[in-house]
Amino acid sequence: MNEWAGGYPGALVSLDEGLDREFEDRLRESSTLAFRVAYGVLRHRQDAEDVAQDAFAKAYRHFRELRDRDRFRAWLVRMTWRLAIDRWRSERRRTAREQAVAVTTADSTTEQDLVGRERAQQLWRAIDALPEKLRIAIVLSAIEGHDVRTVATLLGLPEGTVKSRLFLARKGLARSLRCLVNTRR
Amino acid sequence: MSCEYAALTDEERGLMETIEADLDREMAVEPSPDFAARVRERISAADRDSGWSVPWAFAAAAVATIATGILLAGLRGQPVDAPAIVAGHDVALPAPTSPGPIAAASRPAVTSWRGPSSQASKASAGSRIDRRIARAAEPEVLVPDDLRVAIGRVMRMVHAGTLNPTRDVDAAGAGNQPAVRPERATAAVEEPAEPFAPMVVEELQVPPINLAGGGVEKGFGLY
Repeated sequence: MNEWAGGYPGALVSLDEGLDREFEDRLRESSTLAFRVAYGVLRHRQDAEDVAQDAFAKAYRHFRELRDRDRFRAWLVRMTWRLAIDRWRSERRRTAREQAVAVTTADSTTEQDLVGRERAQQLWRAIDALPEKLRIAIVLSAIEGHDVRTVATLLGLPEGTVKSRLFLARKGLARSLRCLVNTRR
Repeated sequence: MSCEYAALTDEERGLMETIEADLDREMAVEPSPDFAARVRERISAADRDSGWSVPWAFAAAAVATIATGILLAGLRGQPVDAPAIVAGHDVALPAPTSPGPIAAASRPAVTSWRGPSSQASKASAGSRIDRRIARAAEPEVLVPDDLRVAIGRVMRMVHAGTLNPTRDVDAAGAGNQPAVRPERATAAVEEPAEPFAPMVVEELQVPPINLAGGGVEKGFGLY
């Protein structure tokens, strides 16, 4: 039976049953990936989920051309990244997000938590300052422990290019964070 | 020296490892448990929207097509003035057989056939399409120069409603009194039953001259 139609009586389902099942598998195995990609840009759970769901909805419309697993994940990552960047640029909610983070972590009373939170904010500021192509590489490498080959597959780039971008990104982050640490001292 | 130009040191390498560890920890977020359900809901909503939009698009296209058809049918069905009616009731319009000098002479007369009432009705119709269709429906006929004025007068009378070709011409053909003045009717309408008869010239009878008889001399004599 069609799982989607069964879950939502009366809903129109465009794809046939086999395609639906395949898409269900892709959704199950790639939802975390899409969510984390969006979160790496937006750092707001609700916004990240919204963007990732939007990307899946778009993927569903093009699923006949995206049945291959690697192709689907690569398309999904790029689409999610693009949607997240668009939202990040258009809405400019970063200040509000940072304030929300501060409010939600206010109950963390231990000094260790506060230090860790501050370090995380510095890290994200440094990541945001990176060029976009370095930024997506470093974010993808941090998701699910992706290696260079996986990141290269997701971005549709040669492994050497990804390797050099990852190095440049890490170097830039190290410099920025060291600079921040030295400035604080 | 600025931070951007600092060399990569062991300290930086250690920092990079720390950064990676922090980043891994930061990215270890999970979507909410109902994430997949919300995706399905969004896709179903999109399907419903597209399911509505397709029939609406068809309906809009059908309505537009029907409206266009009605409009065109209405325009074609409008009464267009009458040269065709006049020709159908035996008004003597010479057949346009020779497109010679007559054609050039007749074209201005055709444009003058549009009577004041028809022009007014077209103006009141107000539509350029209207006028274009009416103009295209008026036949252009070739008339000889000597009949141009008379035919034009008949057409003006038809347009003005003072001459009804159906009633008046039939009545005239049946021998009844025509509704138009006789001289105008005869100038414009020729009865096919009474064509112009060729003049018959009788042969002149000349008696032969007889020089022998005296009586004949009297007839041809000089007075």
